[in-house]
Amino acid sequence: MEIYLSNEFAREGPLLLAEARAKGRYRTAQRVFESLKPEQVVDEVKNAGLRGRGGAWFPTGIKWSFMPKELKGPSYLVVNADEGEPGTFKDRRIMEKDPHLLLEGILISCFAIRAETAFLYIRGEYRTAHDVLADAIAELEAAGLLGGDLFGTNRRVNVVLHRGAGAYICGEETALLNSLEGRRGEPRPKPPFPAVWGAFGRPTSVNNVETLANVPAILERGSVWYKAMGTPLAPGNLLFGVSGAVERPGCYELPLGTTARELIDKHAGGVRGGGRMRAFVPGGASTGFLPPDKIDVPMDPESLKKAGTMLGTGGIVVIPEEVSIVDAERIFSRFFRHETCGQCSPCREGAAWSDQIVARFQRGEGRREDLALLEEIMRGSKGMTICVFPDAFAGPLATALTQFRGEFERRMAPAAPAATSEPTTHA
Amino acid sequence: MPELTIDGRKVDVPAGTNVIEAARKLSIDVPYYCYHPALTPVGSCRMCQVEIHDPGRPLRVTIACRTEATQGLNVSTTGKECVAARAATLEFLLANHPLDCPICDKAGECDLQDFSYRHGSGVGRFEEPKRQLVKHELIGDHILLDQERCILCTRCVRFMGEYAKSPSLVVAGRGDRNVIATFPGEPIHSNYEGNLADVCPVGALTLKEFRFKSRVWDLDVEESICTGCDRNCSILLETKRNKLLRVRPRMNLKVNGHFMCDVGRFGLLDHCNPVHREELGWVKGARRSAAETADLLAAALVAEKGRWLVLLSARLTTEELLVARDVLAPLAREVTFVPAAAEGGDDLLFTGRRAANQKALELLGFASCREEDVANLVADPAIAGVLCFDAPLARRLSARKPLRRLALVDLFRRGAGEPDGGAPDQELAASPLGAEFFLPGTLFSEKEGSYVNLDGVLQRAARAQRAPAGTVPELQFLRAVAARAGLLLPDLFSKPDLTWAALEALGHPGRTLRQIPDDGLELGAPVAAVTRTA
Amino acid sequence: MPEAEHPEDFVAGLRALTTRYPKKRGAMLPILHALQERRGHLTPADLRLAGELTDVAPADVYSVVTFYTMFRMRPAGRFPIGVCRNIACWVNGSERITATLREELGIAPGERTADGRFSLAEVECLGSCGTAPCLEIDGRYFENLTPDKVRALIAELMSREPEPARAAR
Repeated sequence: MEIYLSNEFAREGPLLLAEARAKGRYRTAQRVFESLKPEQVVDEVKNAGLRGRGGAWFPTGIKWSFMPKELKGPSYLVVNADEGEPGTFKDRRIMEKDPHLLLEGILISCFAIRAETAFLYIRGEYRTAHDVLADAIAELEAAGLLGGDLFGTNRRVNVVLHRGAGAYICGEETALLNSLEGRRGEPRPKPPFPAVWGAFGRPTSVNNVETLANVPAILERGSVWYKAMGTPLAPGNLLFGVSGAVERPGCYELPLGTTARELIDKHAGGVRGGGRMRAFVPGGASTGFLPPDKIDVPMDPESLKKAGTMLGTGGIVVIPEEVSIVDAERIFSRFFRHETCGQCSPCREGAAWSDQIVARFQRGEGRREDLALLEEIMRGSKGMTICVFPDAFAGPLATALTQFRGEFERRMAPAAPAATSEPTTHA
Repeated sequence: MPELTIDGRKVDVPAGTNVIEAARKLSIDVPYYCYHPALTPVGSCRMCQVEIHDPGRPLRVTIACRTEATQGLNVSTTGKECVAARAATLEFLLANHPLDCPICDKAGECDLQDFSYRHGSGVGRFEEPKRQLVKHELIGDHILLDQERCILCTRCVRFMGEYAKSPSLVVAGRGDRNVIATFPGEPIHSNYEGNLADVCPVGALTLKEFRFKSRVWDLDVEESICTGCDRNCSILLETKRNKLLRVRPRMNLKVNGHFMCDVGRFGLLDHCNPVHREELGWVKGARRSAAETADLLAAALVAEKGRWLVLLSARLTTEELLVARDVLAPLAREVTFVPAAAEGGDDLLFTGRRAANQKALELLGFASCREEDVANLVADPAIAGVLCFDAPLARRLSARKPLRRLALVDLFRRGAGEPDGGAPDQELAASPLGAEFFLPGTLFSEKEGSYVNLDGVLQRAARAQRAPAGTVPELQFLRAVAARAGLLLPDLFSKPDLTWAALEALGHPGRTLRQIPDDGLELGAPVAAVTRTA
Repeated sequence: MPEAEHPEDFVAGLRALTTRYPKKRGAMLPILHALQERRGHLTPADLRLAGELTDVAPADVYSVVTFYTMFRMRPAGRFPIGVCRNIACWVNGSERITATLREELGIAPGERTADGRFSLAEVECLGSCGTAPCLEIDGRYFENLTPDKVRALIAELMSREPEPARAAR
């Protein structure tokens, strides 16, 4: 099994430029700039089958092919480093430990889409990663590896580091663009898509940190090498997160298609204290609660879709047996209520309403009709809004209600006494 | 022109039309909140959901405001899915709505009420504690904000930013903490505030001036035009028991679009509800009825033919001006008007020229005269007296130099604006401005007629209020003059109505007042110079 | 004038930020971060200044500020503590961490100590799931916490001064 993403993760501090170059970094970028055409890079990435690792799994080469080949003004690369999905911390690892892995990926990707500026949008809370990246960018500029006349060609790339300010929704690519532009981070209606109208009105490709970190290896080793890893429809390795009630929480680089069981039991040491799990969340809040009998699911987009959910970011969170799913769901319903941008009526009200209902269940005040009502709230908002946030808040709620319905039923208030037939009167 | 099908009916629309407007052409009303034809669409309220039926593809439920009407598009506004989607949106919007209807001014013209009735499920299942927010806070000179009633359609935000060019209303917060707000501690400032109460589909933004004044279904509504300046925005005058309670713009793409300014909207409220208005006439120092005054003044004009200077006013209707031209001109020494200068106008609707019908004065061929030159005219010994239809002008002239003989025909309020004050409720001890003749005038809202705006659009104004009993409308006074002078004037008085005569004079023959289109008649190229009858 | 509140070279630095973006407004978030770092929260004057620098109306700046969790218009403590309350931290005892802090500081989430030294907030996922539970103070993470570690941290912070704000980069 090949490791090409996480080789530097065990370090104390980040890998600096001098040592990185000694290890051969930026040679691929040099070869790309000196001897390839942008179309060739796009084709290689397309052939490799690289898919976006921000949670949506959209084929990166195809996304890049939407960008204009003839420029009538600037195009941009926007790096989505707004990692906010609960259970997910892999982009942070890359940025804190191996910033040059990302930066070389940015260079090559800018070349592929003919962008001269990359805006690196990093969530505001990632102070350390920001500072590491700022230092790394300064190193590159000093070494002439960022700026103009790169590798003796007439191409230039600049990286503008930009901090977010605390809003999960800014991980959605069009909300991120609005936030980058200095506005509220509200998603935009689509069409138009970012390749047509993106950052500051220009054609833009928004790509996740880990996605871009895959690019140097693909260009260095080739698409055939890449496709040999992972699954046919989802090649490559993924930086799986495993956290929650496990012995060794952490970030584990493994081929896509590795089972959840292998990740949890073999690599993360199993449920902590030798206990049992009640459920596991495969890849972020919207992917919901899978019961323990699903632990053999291969962690790839197609298999999780078959299992009725999604791979998302591949950040597994293990819920221990002693925890109630009602309480776990409340963590998520409260989170989604806090993070909905609020533009669209169904999501703004639906996320809050469903949280209020789940909170009642938490207090033991659930009512029988609430179970159907929660289904109605989800049905009345999914697919009805500018972005897929309602699908996200429905994710865990739907799985909780289907797979763990009994837990909700046990948190219902005792049935109210039957109403009398006499109306109340006012004296 | 793409042709599409909506609810089984075909319609042709210009390229770029959205499905809401395409449906409107078929008189199909797709409900909407955040959409507004004059503002950028945002697609956030999710009310305008319709079904798109593409052959061979699954049914799509989507928002009509951001769906372009393309060739062959097949839309349903009545299908099960979109009906359910709209009902769901309404239930979400009503979840935290305070249901203030019994005390909310918007009741009866509220889109939340109306759409809930037409498109809602009729049952609300929300039983959690509702959000408690700011109620009835004055955020500007006229607008009260109720954040609880707000459905966050953001029309107000976009109106202030895009139309009024004063981006002072915003959405603050995130998610279910979103509220409409201003910069902390700063009210909004704009000459277009009043439109917020119209664009707001619910009772979140209401007018201080209208608060608790009336239920909207108790109002009598007439179509009129605003006389605050010579834009002549199309408006609705809404009265109850003869008191003007509210003024709202009417959509007119030839004149004002969808909006009107505050100078007009709130100015008319004061103007049309004059307190302590003189209702009796004065003749030579003695009080007389308006009818007697009209008669005596007419007699004086005839008896002293050729010796009066007539100063017209741009507040008069086109019909009145036409009659003044054909009746007074032969009798007077000179007939003229003082054009108003534009003062304080903005780039939008308010021109700053406080002379509603000035264009008609020009088109009917009246000579104009600068205010400073009027004083010279008055000084001419051949002038016996001044017949003035414009009280503010008369006041300014008197202030320079008292007018020897003045016949004033205009509205006058007791005590109002008198240099030495004077209690408003006290009867005047003397004739206004010392006028030999004072005939109380009527408000524009008390008569029907037409007005021509600065762009040459002639519009009809209906009568919306009853003048006080015993007052004599200006037209009646002018007819009395004609009768006294023995002027038959068949070209005027034998036409179907005076508007017909006026339009003939203006080169656009063939319509009576009622036949003028609702959005006005563009008079177009200037007509040939009209000569005054001798 | 809002500029008078901040030294000239600082404001010049903010102005320079606007040149990094194709439209001045792109510098809004970096400018707001820099302003907030001066005293730990944003004042109405700060918002006006940000608006002037980016050609954005003050109300619009207010709209942006109130959208983001990290921006505050009320004073926070000199050490503003954010405890993650999301799923992995919660499974690993974040509620005990919050309870410990309540006890040690005598305040509830959303409050500030009387001496202004600490404030407490519950926040959503910080990306520390593999090192849970976690709290952050001004972007500096304290991970793999236990109630004892929290008590030790508070004890240390009782006597420490906050680090000076980093210059905008």
